[in-house]
Amino acid sequence: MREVLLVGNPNSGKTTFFNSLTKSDEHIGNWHGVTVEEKKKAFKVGNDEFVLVDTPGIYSLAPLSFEEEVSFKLIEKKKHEKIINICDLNNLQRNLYLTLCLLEEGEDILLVVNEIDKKVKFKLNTKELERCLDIPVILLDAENKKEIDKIKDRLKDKPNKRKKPLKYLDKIDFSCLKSHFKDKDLIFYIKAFEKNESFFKLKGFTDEEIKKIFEIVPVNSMEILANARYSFLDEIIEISCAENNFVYGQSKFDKILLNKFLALPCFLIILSIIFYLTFFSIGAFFSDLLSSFLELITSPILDALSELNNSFLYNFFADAVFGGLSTVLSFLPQVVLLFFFLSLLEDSGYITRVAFIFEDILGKVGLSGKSIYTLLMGFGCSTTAIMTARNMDNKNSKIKTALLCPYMSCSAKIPIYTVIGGAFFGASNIFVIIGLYLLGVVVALSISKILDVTLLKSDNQTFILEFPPYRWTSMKRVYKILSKNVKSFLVKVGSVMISMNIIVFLLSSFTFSFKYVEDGSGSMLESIGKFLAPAFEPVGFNNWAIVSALLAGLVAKEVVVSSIAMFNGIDSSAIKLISSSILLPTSVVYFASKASVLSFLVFCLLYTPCLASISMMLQEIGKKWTIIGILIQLFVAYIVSFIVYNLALGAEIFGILPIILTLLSIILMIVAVCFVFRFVKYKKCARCKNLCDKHK
Amino acid sequence: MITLKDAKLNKYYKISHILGDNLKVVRRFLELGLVGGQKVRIVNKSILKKVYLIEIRGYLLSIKTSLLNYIILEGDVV
Repeated sequence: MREVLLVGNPNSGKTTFFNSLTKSDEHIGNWHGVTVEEKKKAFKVGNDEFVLVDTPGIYSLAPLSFEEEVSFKLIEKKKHEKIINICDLNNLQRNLYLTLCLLEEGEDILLVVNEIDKKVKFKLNTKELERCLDIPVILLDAENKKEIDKIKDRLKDKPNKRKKPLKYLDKIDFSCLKSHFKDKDLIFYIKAFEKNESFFKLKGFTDEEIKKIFEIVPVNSMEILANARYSFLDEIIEISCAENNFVYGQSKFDKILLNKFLALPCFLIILSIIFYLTFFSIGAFFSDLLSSFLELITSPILDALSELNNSFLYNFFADAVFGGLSTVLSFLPQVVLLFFFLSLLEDSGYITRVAFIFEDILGKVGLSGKSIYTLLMGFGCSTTAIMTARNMDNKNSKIKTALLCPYMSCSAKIPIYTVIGGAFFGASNIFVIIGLYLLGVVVALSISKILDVTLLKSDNQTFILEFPPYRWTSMKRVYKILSKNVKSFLVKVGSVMISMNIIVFLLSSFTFSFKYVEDGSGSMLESIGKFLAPAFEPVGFNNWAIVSALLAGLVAKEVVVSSIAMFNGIDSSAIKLISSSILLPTSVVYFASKASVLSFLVFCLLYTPCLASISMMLQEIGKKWTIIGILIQLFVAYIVSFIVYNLALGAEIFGILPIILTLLSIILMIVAVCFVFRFVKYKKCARCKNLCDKHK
Repeated sequence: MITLKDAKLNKYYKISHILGDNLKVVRRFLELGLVGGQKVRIVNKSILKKVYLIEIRGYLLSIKTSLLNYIILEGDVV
C-alpha cells in the first residue's frame, strides 16, 4: 500500500482534511495541537490503494515539543511516497516555511492551500505559486467536495522527486562546512546550519560529533538560513498573492475577554453557564425524561420475569442489568451536553485565550498556560485529556499535567454527585457540586506546587502560542459532536459497565464456596468489603458495600452508582428511589450523616481514576510516575476526606460558625508564616549587599 | 539596545536580530518569521504581565515575557 503523509502547521486543518478524504471522524478543534499522535486510514482511488497518515502539526523539521517529535520522526523515516502539505491561506507565508524545509529534503509534495475562513488575508494565484515552487498546488474550499477528488487524482501521479536545489540555497555560503565534510549532501549542510540536533541524533551522530559540527558553522547560521528562506517566501508572496490588510486572529471580543479586569470573571461566567446548563437546566430536564422513559420500558419486562418465580434470574436482570445500568443510562443527556460544550469551547478558539490568561496563574504553581487545555478536557474524560499533555515541551510539565488531570472531576462522576449528594442535600446540592469541582481544582494546583518544589521542577518552560481566530461551529459539526458522544457513551454502558455490573452481581451473590445467597450475606464481595471497611472508619463510611462500590469504581466511575443501586436492590431507573434508599438505616448501603456523605463524595472525586486512565498514564508518563501518581491520589483522597469528614462532623455538633472561624484562623496562620518566610528571605538578600539575582 | 520586552504597547518596532541561550527557542522564533527587518507590535499583556501577545507578519502570537528578551529591536519606533 502506498503511504501518503499529511503534514502542516498546527491548526491548519489537517485532521478536517483527513476526515473528509478518508470519511473518518477524528477529533478536531480550533487550537494548537489537537492531534498528538499519528492516525492512519486506508482509502482507494480507482484501483490504487493508499494509506493516509495524519500527523501532529509542526512549524519546521526541528521539533520542540513531544508531539512535534512524532511528526518529525515519521517524515524522517522516509517510508512514505508522497506528502500532502496543508497550508492555511490566512497564514500562507509562515505555512510555506515548512514547505521549503520539506522541499529541501527532496520530498515529493502536493501543496493543498486551505481556505478555512470566508474572510481571507491573501488572494492566491495558484498558477503563479505552482510556477514559483515547481510543485502542484490546489486551493481547497472546505465546503467543496470537487477539490477532494482532484487531490485524489493527483495522488496517482508518478513519484516526482526534485533534482534541482532551491535557488535561495545558492546564496548561502556553506564553504566552512564543505572544507571539513567534503562528501556530504546539501541536506547535511542545511541541517548543520539549522543546528538541528534531533536530525543528527536520528542519523546516529554522537553528542560529541554534533557539538563539533555546530562549532564549525557561523554563530548566526540559523538566522542566515531563516533569512534566506523568508526572503524567498516574501518574493513568492509578492508574485502570487494579493494581500488584504488585517491581522489574522485579531477580534473585537478580545477587548473584553482579554481585558485585565474582565478576563477572569468572563472565564468563570462561561464555565458556570456550562455547568449550570449541564447539571441543572437542560441536562436535568432531559435526564428526568429519559429516566421515566427507561422505567416505562423496563417495568413490564421485570413484571414478566417476576412471574417466573426464579429469584436468581429475577435478581440478575433486575439488579445487574436493569437497575444500575438504566440509572447510569439516564445520565446520558448530561454527559453528552458537557462534552458538547467542551467541544464548542475547543472549536471557538477561546481556549488559546484562556491559556494566555492562565499562564500567569499556572506559572506560579509550576504549570504552563498550555496545561489549561488538558485540564479543561479533564472535565470531560481524563483518559483522552491525559494524552493531550503531549502539547508540553518540557518533560516535567508533561508528567505534572498528566498527573493532575484526574483531579479535574470527569463526567463519569456526575451520577455519583447527583444521586448520592442529591439524597442528603436536595436543592442545595448545587453548592456541594460546585464545591467539589472547585476542591478538585484547588487540590490539583496545590499538588502541582508541591511537586514543583520537590520532585518535578519545571524550569525553562517555553510558551509560544499562536492565536487562532474565533470561529462558529457549523450545524453539521454540532450533529457530529452529539452523535459521536452519544455513541461512545452507549458503547461504554453496553460493554464495560454491563460486564462490570455482572461481575459485581456474581461476587455479591455467591460465597467463596460458590453457593448462591439471595441477600448477599456471606458473599465474596461482602467478605472482601468487610476486610477493608475498618480502614475507612476514620473517613466516616465503615460499610462493606460502600467500600465494594469504590473498589468496583476503579474500573469505571459510573459503576459506583450502579453497584450501590444493586446492593440496595433497586430495580428501576428512578434516581429518587436510590437516593431515598441510602437514607434508610435498614439498607445495605446506608450513610449515617451528611458528614459521611460529604467525605464519600470527596473520596470519589480524588481517588484513583478509572482503569482506562491508568493505562493511558502508563503509556504517556511511564510506570514509575503512574505508580507515584496512584499513591498520591489514594493518599490525598484519604487525607482530604478525613479532614472534610471531621470538619463536617464538627459543624454538625458545634454549628457551622466555629468551624468557619477555625478554618479562617488556620488560613491566616499559613499566610502569616508565608509572609515571615518571605521577609527572612528578603533580609538575607539585603545582607548579600544586593548582589543576588533577584535584587540586582 | 532594546528588546521586545521593553517595547511600548501598540507601537510598531523593527526587529534587528534574535539572540539567546536556548537554541530551540531562537530557532522557533526564526521559523515563526521573527527575522531581522520585520515589523512587530505588542498587542496585549496578560494580567500579571507574564505573557505578551504580539503581532508579527499579520498574525498573533503569545509569548512568555522572559523569552521576549531574545528579540532585539532596532531603536526607533516605526
